[in-house]
Amino acid sequence: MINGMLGFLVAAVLIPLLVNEAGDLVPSLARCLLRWGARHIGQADQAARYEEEWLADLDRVPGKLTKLLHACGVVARSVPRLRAQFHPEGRRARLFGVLAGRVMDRTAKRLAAAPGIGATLQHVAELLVPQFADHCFIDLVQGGVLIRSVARHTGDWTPPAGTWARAGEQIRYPQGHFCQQAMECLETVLVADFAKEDRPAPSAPSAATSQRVGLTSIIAAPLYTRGVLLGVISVARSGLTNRAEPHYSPADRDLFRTVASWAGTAIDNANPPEASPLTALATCVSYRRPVPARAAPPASSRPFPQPHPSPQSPSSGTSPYPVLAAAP
Amino acid sequence: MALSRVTPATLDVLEALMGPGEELYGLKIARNAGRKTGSVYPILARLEEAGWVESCWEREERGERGPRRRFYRLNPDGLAAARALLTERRGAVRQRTGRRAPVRSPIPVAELRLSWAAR
Repeated sequence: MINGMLGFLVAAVLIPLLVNEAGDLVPSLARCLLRWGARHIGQADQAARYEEEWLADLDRVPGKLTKLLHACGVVARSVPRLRAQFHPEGRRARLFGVLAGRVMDRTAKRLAAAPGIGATLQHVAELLVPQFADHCFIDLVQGGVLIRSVARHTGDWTPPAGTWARAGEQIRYPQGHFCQQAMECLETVLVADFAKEDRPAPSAPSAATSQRVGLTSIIAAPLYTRGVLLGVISVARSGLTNRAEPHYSPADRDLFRTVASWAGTAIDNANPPEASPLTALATCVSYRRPVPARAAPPASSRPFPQPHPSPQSPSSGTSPYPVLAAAP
Repeated sequence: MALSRVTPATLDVLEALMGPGEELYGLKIARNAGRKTGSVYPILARLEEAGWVESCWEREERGERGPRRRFYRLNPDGLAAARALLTERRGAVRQRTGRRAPVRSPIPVAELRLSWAAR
């Protein structure tokens, strides 16, 4: 009898009371959740702004449980992204998350599938601009001189004629230039703050354009595969885009070193065997065939890499490359 | 200024911002764009950072107390840039009013009846 009465009390009174109470608590729980999420964006002014904005939007969400689901969605999706956007460290982490994950994966796949040297170079530049850089240059050694093979810029911007070398033009880097340094030392060179470093430019109009476009940071890496220097790849950030992090970090340099390494391998793979003596040698040893004579340089844009004289010991003083020695 | 990343959700939000109505706030934009609210706020922040979108607080009416809404609108430069981007990516600018299209049966009703009659 007593058990029956207790069961009736629980079923008819207590459970409806609890459900009613919980229903009233859910909207305030949603508000607490949004306040908590806004505080975790990272910046005090942004936190205050989003707290008020989200609470105002929450008032217009119908229902009680729906309010809680809406708040959960905002906290789960918006807070990490806004935090990454407003917090520099978080942004760097996001950049690495994206680049090291999806983009790097895509880079490797696309480079592996690239049909020819021209397509390979274009793929590399397209993957770097504008996600990672505002400008990307790929210079390849062809017939003993350095030829600009790709010059890609963010948006529709193009440098004025006669300033920065365009695709197909020969380029000469002076001593102390980051690209020259990258090729000479076979190391990835980071110019973290371009304004603070006194770096020589290939020409006065080139330096003036760098000033005008507001170059902020640069990375240059050698394209070096199997003892052969193929050229140099460089990326730069400038005032053309408003980035939260306008300067490259040492972590960016390490990432770019990997991209350059893959690009070098892809370019080497895209070369016909007769164009690369080492590739031809490796192929002939594998198949026990005589080594073919090296083909004459065609007029097309195939790079003809020069064997590096001493890759392990960077030269001091005179440059081992004809192109570098000819620089003013 | 160019957007650093353009996703399909970004294009949907731009279409929603180009739609009718002056008082467009986060929740309304999300509904018009057909996207989750949580993914719309970061996109609006990016558009604002790029200088395409301007936002302002709702005016406080007398006697009304509580949190204010934040209204978003494309500025003239952003409008032109958004129009160009949408035309480039989608061919044209679609109107988004928030009304959902009537749900249609994937198979016409007449065909359904015929198939049942055949049994």
